Amino acid sequence: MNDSPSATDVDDDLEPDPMFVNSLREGGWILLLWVACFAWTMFSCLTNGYIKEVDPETFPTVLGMPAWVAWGIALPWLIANAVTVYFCFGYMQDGDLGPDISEDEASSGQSAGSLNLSIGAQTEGASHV
Amino acid sequence: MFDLLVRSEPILAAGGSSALITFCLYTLVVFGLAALSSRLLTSKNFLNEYFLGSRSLGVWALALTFAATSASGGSFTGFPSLIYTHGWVLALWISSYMVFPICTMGLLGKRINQVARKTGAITVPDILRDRFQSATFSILATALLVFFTCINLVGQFKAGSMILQTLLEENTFYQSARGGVGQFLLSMPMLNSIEPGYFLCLLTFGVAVIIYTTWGGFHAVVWTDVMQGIVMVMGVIIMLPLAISQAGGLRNATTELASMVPPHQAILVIRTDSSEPIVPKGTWLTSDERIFRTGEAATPDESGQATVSGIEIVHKGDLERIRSKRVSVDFAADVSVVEVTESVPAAFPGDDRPGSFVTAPGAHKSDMNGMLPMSLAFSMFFYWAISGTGQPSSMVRLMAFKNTRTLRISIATVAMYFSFIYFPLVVIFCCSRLLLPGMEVESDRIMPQMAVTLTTNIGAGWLAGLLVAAPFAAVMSTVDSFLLMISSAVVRDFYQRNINPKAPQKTLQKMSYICTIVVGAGVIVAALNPPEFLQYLIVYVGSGLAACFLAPMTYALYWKRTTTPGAIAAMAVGFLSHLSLYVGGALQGSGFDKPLRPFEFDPVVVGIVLSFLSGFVVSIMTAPPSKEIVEKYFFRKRVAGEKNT
Repeated sequence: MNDSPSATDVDDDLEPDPMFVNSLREGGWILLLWVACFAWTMFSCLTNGYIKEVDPETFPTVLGMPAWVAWGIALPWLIANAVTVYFCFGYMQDGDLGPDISEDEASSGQSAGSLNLSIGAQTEGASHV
Repeated sequence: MFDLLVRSEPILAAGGSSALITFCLYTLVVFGLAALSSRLLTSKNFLNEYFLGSRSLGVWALALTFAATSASGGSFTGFPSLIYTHGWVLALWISSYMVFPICTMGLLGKRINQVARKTGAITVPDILRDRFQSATFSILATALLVFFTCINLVGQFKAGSMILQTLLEENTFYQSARGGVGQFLLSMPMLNSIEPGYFLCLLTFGVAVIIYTTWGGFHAVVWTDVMQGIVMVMGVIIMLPLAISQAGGLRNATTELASMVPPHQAILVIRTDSSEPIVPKGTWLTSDERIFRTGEAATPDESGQATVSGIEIVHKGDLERIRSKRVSVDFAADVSVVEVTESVPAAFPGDDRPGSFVTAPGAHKSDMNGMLPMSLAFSMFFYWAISGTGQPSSMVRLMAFKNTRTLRISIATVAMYFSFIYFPLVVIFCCSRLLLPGMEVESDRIMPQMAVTLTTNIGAGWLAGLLVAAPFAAVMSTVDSFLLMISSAVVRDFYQRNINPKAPQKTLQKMSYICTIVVGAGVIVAALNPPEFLQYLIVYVGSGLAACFLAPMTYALYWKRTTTPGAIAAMAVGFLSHLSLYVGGALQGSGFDKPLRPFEFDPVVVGIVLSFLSGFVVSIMTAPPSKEIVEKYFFRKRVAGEKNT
């Protein structure tokens, strides 16, 4: 096995791309939100929604919907929306996406690291540093 | 093959003309948008503009095109049908839509757009090709993309045709056109088994989509998506208060649902005194105070008798509503029940216990585990949000927005948008059980039938045309995006990048137009006689795309150490593991709709997990990528005086 290239392998005049770093961090928080919603919904619904005996006269409802739907789905849905809005307006970082390399440049192989465009010209397993 | 011989309330009877007018206006606006879009094509870089709108999408365009493309015809046909059939448990089934927008747009959005700009990529295989420096990988990705998307398109075209039929079926102009087409089809040996209405609507729908997509390219697709997205949410917002009020309030609806039991599955021997050769599906029958509805069309023998499957309404509330004429049911006067051979409860709950429509796992006529057993609930939460992130059609949209502010606001907008669509749909179609009993035999028609019932009850039948336009818009917005995706895969990824890299703009332009038309025409031909199990293929396609593309794209954007063999392994293992579970299920005799589920996990969960694992292991075991590639995708020139983020 080979060592993974790291920031120390690259040229000194380079730094980690802030868009990559920000996106990675934000992605982590998004996954955490997914896990939190998953845990809440599954725990709540699996505990309260899978009922064998129902008495229609006393079946619990909240705002007209079954109570297990209200607490296990509608409420976390509302909270997830609030977190999403906060995340978008209060946490997510703006950044420069960079110029759009033109199609001609890209297809003629002028963009850095772009591929020679014939089927035979593959560079799989390209040499590393 | 088609459920066309159905005796039910005439859909859109009150609004037959208004439905046609709605459809014509709608089509005119779509063509107008295509004309406007085509003017942009003359002034900009052709492929970038035609397939990606020059990466200029603003907030509303990105939000609504993303939402409309994600919400296919299933959201307005299959989903309401499931809610009606299984009840409130569908809220749990769809619950991961609470995080769907932030996951599907936020996890990959900024990085995929940045990388696409950096490499000039305009398709998903484009990005993978540049990142992993492999033409083979690009061709594999293109082939899988075209394979999956074509299958999906056939199903969407079929759905579009069926909805258009529903929209127009009571219109006299349409009926006479259908008669003419029927005569034509009878004279064509290869086509005479096709239902004329289906053929006519398929042709109309297909030709309209092909023309405006070919004519206007990506911008036409996006602008029509915006309009279609508005139509969809308007339809839901209008239906919600009507459904709740006509069901006597949501609390009343839920309490009534709590006492309901699913109808029995029945086998009946019927006799007809009518001269009609066929007793249509959906015929209401009564015998000794019992109420039945036929589930299939029946052809009586010489004595006028036939055996037919159907349902028996057993819930006291439904029986009372029907007998007291609080819901409108037309019993067939010329058909009688001779004998009830069989009338058995649904598989779940198997003992006519009340409550299955308001609790999990939900009623099911043939599965003793119910609609959503716990293990499947886990898988579904994973499925929507995580596999949605791996859909190439979503990735393409994320390559097209103009700046990060646009993405941020769009994510919040889509979150609100989906909240106004999916949860209200659950409420609307839970209420529909009170308003429309016996729809189990034709539950796919619950959406248009509900639209007609709600609007007729308030004396506004004309409004039904607009409401039924919502599912039509959903299908159209998905079809146009997929059509363009296949076309871009062929022209850009296959022709330009592998066969003729120096192809002039004019050639590429001509090829793009021809390809879109040829693919569209091919799908129309395939949809003339779609396989019976097509809906299951569509489910397979959605999860299969995620199993193939999510891991390679995530690794491409976020893991420096990913190697080309690792990415190829991730895609191949994702595809093969997912496919093998479906094939295994089919070989066991369960059919393509019941794949193997190791440890009760859905194939999409297994496929994605194995895809990520194999990509990781193979990358670690192979030589790291070149320094140039790592620097290009993960580093930038140090900016003097600026702190690292």
